Amino acid sequence: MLTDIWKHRELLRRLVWRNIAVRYQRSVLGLFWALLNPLLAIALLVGVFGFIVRIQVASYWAFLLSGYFVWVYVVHTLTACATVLSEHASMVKGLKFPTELLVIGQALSRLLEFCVELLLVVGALVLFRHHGLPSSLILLPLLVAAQLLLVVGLALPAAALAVFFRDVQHGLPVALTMAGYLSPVYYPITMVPAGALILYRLNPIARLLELYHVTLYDGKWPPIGDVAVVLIFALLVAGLGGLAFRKLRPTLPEVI
Amino acid sequence: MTPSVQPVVECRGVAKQFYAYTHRTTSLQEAALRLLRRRPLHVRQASFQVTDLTLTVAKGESVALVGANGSGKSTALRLMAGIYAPTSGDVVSRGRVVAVIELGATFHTDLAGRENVELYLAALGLSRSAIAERLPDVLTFADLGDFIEEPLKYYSSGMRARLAFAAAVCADPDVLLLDEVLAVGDARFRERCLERLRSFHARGGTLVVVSHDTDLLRALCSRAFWLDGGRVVASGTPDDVIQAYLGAEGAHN
Repeated sequence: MLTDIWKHRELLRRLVWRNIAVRYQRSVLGLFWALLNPLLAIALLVGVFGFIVRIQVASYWAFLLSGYFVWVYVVHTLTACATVLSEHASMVKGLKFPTELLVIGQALSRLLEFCVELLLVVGALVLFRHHGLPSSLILLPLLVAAQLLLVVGLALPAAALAVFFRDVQHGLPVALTMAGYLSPVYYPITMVPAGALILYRLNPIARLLELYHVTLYDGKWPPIGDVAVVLIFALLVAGLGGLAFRKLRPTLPEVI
Repeated sequence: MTPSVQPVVECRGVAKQFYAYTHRTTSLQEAALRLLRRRPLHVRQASFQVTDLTLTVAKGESVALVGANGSGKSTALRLMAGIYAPTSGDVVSRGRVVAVIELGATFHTDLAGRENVELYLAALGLSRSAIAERLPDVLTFADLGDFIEEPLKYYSSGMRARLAFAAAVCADPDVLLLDEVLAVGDARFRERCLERLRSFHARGGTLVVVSHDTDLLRALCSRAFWLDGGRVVASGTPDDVIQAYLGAEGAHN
């Protein structure tokens, strides 16, 4: 699978840029939206949770920002991947190429946007919370890599299943909204009752969010064992997702 | 041009089974209900599209596939192109096989014609420099002028076909599979396509053409297969096979 992808790296590169170009074409502000969107979101969250809604977490806005865009990335990528194959139906039906690149291309183009968001969040935290650069920020590339692997591993089977079952497209947004409340996006994992904690530990996204909270919000180094667990989890999910996609792939041109 | 012995496309006892569904479960809710009631998810009957397809195409050959609608010609092309996996049997092809099926290189309606071609060439596995090298040739041949920078959604079907054909033939394939591509272009473009296909053939390219245009097949091909029910019922010179096929069609009507 990996050699196949490497052989078609030019296609992947073009798909990523194409996705970005299509998203911002016909808009006056163009690529500036990629910056403006997260800036507005950050201003809104800081405004609402810094001055209006008071939550019993120190600098809640900083806590929220540390995981918010990670979760937005998960939701946007998975929802986009549920339709990406049917949007390229004639390509899937008329060409022999690794169709997983359509999914990976979505995940990568959105990751570029996420990186912009992450930099803005880091900027806000450095300026208004830590007043300095915590050394834990060095870990961020590793966390981003784990995030990409996890999401690609989930998006691949979701994309293929959406071709067979249209209700993946309908059910996924609802499921993701629910998962958002069941993951430590809006509240710290320390608020979770001890009994439910074991379930939280099974959710790799929850573990990843926790790592982001420690490195960004706390500005501390997470236990290296926790990082290793998330990375291993991510590799496992990506591998299994890739295998599942490979299994379904030959029938896609017939069904789509 | 004498075809060399080495086959570039080989189908050995290839079967591709499709199913006619009298019931098909397409939602998870329905799937859960049917599992609970111990009913099968899909109720289907085998409708064989292609059975026991055996044919070899040698390098440099130009081969025609004829047959009625639903005889399995397009399925045969998709099998040769590797888009469909055979249910049983073997399909072996050597070199770069490029198929122009459906809309060919034109699939993203929001993108300009040129961007579609670039994406198509990349999907065929061409490198960045190879794409840059081939692109002028495609644009010259498609001859769409400034329209090449317009989004595909403003193209007519004839313009789409021109772009698709140009992209495929300029991708430097070893084997070119064409499915009714020349039917939509105008007379002038058709003439240029034929010329291009002849030079492709003269340079040792292999061609498999599906068409109902028997004059085209006679002009272009040196061998023909008549497919019926996904099976080769006759093969030989285009004249003989087409005559037999048209005779059978006439008798049928």
